[in-house]
Amino acid sequence: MIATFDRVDAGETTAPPGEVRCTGRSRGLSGAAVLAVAFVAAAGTQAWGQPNFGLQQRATVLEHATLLKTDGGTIDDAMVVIRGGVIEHVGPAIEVQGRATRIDCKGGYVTSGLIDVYSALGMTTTRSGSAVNRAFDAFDRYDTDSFREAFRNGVTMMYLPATGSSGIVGIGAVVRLAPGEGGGWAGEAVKDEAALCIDLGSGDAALRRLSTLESLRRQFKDAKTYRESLETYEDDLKEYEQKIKERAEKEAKEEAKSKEGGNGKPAPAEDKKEGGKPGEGDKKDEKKDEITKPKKPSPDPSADVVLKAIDREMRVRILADRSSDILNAIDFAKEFNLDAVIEGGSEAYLVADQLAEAKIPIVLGSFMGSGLHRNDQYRRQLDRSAAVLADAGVKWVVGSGVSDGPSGRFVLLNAQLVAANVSDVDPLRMVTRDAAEFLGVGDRFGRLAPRRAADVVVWSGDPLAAGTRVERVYVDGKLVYRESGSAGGSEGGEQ
Amino acid sequence: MKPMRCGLIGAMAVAACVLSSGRHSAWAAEPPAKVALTGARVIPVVGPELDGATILIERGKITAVGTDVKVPFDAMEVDCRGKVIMPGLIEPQSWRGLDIANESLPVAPFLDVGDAMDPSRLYFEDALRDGITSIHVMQGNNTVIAGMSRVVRPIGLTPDEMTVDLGTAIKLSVSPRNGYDRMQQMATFRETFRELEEYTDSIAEAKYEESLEKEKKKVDVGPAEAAKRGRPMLKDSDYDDKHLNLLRLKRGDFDTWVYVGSPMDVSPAIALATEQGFLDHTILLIGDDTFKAIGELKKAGRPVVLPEDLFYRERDPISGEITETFIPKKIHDAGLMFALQPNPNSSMAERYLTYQAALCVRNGIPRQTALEAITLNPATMLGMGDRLGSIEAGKVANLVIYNGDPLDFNSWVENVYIDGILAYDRKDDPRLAEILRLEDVGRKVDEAKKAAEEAAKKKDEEKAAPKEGDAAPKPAEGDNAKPAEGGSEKPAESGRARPRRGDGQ
Amino acid sequence: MNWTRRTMLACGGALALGIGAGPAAAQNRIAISAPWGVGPDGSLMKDVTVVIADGRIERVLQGPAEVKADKTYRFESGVISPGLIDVASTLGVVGNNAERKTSIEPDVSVVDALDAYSSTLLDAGRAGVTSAMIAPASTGIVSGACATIRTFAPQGVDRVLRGDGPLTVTLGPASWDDELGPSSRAGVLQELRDALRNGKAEGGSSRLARVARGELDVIVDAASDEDVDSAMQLFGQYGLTPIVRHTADLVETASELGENGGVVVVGPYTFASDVRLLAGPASLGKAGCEVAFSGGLPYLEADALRLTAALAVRYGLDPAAARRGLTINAAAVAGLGNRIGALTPGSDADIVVFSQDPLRLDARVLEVWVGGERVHKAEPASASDDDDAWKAW
Repeated sequence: MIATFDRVDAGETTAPPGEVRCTGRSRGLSGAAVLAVAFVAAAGTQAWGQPNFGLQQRATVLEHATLLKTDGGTIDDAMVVIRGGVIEHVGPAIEVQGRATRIDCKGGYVTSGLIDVYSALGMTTTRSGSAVNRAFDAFDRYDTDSFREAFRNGVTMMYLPATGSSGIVGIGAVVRLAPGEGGGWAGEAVKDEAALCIDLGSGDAALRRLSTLESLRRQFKDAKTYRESLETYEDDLKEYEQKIKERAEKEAKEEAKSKEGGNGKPAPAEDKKEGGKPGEGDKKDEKKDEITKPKKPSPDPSADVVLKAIDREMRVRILADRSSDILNAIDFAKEFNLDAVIEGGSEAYLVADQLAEAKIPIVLGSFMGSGLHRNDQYRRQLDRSAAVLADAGVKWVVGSGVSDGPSGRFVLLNAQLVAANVSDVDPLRMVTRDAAEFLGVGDRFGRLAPRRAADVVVWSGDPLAAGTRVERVYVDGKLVYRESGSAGGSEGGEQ
Repeated sequence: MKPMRCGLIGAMAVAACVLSSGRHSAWAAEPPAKVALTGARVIPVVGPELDGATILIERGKITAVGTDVKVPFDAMEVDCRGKVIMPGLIEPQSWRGLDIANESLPVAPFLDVGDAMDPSRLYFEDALRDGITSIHVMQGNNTVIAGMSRVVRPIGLTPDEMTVDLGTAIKLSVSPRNGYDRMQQMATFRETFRELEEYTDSIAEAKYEESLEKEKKKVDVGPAEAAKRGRPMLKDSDYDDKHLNLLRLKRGDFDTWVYVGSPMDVSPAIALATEQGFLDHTILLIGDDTFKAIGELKKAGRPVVLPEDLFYRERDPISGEITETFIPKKIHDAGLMFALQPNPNSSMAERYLTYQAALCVRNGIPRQTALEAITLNPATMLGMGDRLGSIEAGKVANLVIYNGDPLDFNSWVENVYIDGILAYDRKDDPRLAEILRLEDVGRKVDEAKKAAEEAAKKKDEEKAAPKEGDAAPKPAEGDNAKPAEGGSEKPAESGRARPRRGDGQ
Repeated sequence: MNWTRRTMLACGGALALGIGAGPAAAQNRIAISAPWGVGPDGSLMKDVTVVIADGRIERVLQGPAEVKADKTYRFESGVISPGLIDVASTLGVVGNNAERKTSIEPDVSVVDALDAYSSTLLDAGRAGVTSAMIAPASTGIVSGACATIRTFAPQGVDRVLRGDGPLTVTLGPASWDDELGPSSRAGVLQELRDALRNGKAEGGSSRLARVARGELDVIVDAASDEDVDSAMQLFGQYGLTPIVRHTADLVETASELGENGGVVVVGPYTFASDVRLLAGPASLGKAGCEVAFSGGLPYLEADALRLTAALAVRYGLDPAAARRGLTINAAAVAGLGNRIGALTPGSDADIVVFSQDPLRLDARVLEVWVGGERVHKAEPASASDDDDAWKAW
């Protein structure tokens, strides 16, 4: 009916069997070595990106599926093979080796799991703000009701900012709804330190916002000063260590000399006053030998985090809805040369040109505001803001917004609302491939391709069509949701 | 961790004279050297239950248990036929002996509950009355890192007298305290331990420099190296109050009891304990729905103290159905050691530890496990499994004598022995007597009996010697007040400082 | 849906033959065709052409058809739909639309509070909502009569489609008012019974009398299951099946409502709505009950009506039922089922052309026609940024 897009590039094929499957290789090894390999492989899966092949791993085969191609077409009667938490094959049906559980998708579409770049799913209430606070600490891995709803709507991963106060709020995390052991939900932090979260307090009174900005600037400046003092200290320390080393060598020489001299009388230069710290306040005639230990600046964990942002090791996400706050954010990002992103951006369309010039992307949240009776910060939100931004050349991505946790499940619907006003935008791609790349996890997530993580959703039809339901969800190759009731996390194969 | 036995006996002598609270009418001038409790049904908790058994107590310790124990000639024999004897019950943790549950400081490891314990609290009296012989007094959950706990007996005039074990454990909470959210709670932990390292480095450095000074040497290495060299030289006395207990926590000098109120708290708790190296001596206090994290609890394998309310009810958001989970079953099925707590908030039977145990049995927990959960398990968790929690030779004579099976709600506590001394006698419990009007009941029974006897006597006398008139002596009013059979009911006034059973009954 | 197509074809064919193309009629004839259209049963039909004459739909054809018309608009891609109807909103109402002199105010008409120049009407219209039933606020027991209005009203086209009903009745805590009237459920029901009895006794053309004679439709705000029961019973005595609205928890009452027939008004739903609430329409559908959607305009965005429908579908409602809920069912609730809400011959030509199935949130309004006149044509959507612009930054 209506063309849509997806991630299966025409040129992508499955990897040759020998390269991907461990079963082939391990047949040549002896029993003990085989066990050792299994152990190591099992242990190695703690680090992400290492597929757990194990021996005789059971594959899940989704057959008679429809896949969407990047060019808009579909591949009918296709097959997706998942093994060991990783996608093994995507494309036309093939012969699958080894044990396999076969699922007949009956023409339903298979896509990768949806990713919400701006969510509050599973978060408990937070109110404190500090650079050392981590959003992942407030993530409730047992909020099974919310997760079931997320799966029902195809969502498998989200970015969770730290929220609850103005200024530097904390460190956001990218969390994947991977099941835990023993039937409990784990929720795995794919990126524990995804971004530094800053809230400019667009909903606050003007004076408050002013002080927030000031305090922000000060904290960043202080972080830089802190680093300078650390660097100075390092230099001073080197000098100090050099000096005392020399002194120690000198003393040793003189001691040796005096020993040779027979007395062992220490040379005058060695006399030290009791109770005085070494190197401090010696006799007046030893002033030139005085070596002062440099004072170490007290450690500042908050400043360490801010420095990561300043060094562009960590992205900075600035929540700003008012146009004035957005302009301030742009200036702030420029001042400290930050890898910045604006969140919210309800009035971003008013300053689209400035954003485009500064090359700062926007993460848009919920497109359903409250209509007539909006909060002050959203008062001028336009439905067509995405279109305006696109026209001006501003890069934007869409999440579900952080107004409340449950909304996170509707990230695809929200993306569709955006797509209504901007042509040539694929809502499904926005919440899979684009979202993954935006979060910096595009090498493993967001696409159906061999060796990518097996976060896969089976739909009853075209995901964008009305009436389509989510039938199955796999995260890390494990079935985490089946329609009409959720499958436990520990259940692997079924049927 | 030294039991204060000497002080206790000495204090008892004094207490005998000055006792004013009337709580423990147990103080004798000198406890008997040997006591034999004979003829009872004994539940040793280790090993099978024994009928018609004897427990021999010498100088406060159990020296023998069995059906064929010979009672030494110089032992005071107490006839316990028809009774059931259990090891003294152990309350795994409570803040109720303290004046407030927590301080306002989030990190206060230097506190000691002994400083805030109030021996006169009714809480201790009630505990004794219910057969609890050891209480782990610890601060509440509204904290990040709280102070040191103690194990106490519910008898004694001062905290030190009551104390059986000092510095048992330190209290931590992963669930956020009031006013904190989870981010801040975890950040506080990280900061505390980071700061500990920083502090240790600085005093290590100073220590090293000091040592050089002593040898009249000058500093020869940079601060980092100096700290490294100074660390092995550090003694506990070098640390200040604030940091000393944190150091000891990491070192494992005492246990850590960690409150994990929600299922999401378990994983950070385990991670923190693992990272800082104290997982091996961690006991977890779980909340109402923490059992949902049973997989993680099982993996950690640490003993668990169950919440006060043993049932968890939840409503399905879609169907509206209510599901009820019996928490101990989940924990037991996962193979974890657990201890039960009484539920003081309940106005019903959950206030009794034995009832909680009975509830477990009713819901599928083996009787043996349920009994362990109120005796041996908490003893083990407190690191006192070698001294408390069961009736075995060599253990402290903390015993409870019931008039029936302890898990039968019709049974009650008749006597409690602590350290071999009779610490509680139901017949001599003035407050209980007042509540239950035992004396009235007793008196009425006696009066009725007397009246019946007199009536019968009168009839006989009238039959026999009608001319004698009033010769038959009527028992005086005062005599009626005396108990018919010695030792059953006593008036309230004479409840104090009287010679006790030690003199022979 | 083959039978529909055949019927439509048969009807279309018959009408094509029947209605002669007289010269005068031919001058006003407009044909709009698109690859898809929304049928009266809510399903999507292929290759639809709607022929409009004199402000009304003359006929609807399926399949390739050559129609003689003055103007023909052919859409390469799109879906022709009846104009959407928000069945419970406060669009265009100025100020406080709750009259609270007493708890029974049957004679209040919310249409008197209408501000036809309100910009919210245009916003709604541009989002494809061509009509809305506005209701007085539910504060008393009987709050007055609803009215159905058009959002666009070009010259010669009625702004007010109906001004005298249905009558709004409120049961549940909202109507328990200590000062004005009864403060308990029992009290409310008693008052209502009395009022109806008196109305019946008095006779005449008062609204309550007409309700008592079964001549005026009633819409009941029922906050809970018991309120639904009471409403059904009470009005059943007068031979009426009230339209039920706002019942919070539909899952339990679904089967009952299904038995009684009628239409239930649900919504509005947002992204934050509770799961149980969202599952309500699907339960109703399974029980054989029809739904009509409230969009909560203008308090919510103009797209909130379609969002409500989309969320109901997401949670199990049949898409065709959802499309009916946006159109013909809403019209039925308003008592205007033969005038608006469906692409059927004789209906007013209130038509919206969407870029896709209106239940899809990425569908946009292409054009809006009211009374046979095109009142809105959307700007083309702007082009998106380049796919690989990501790497450029």
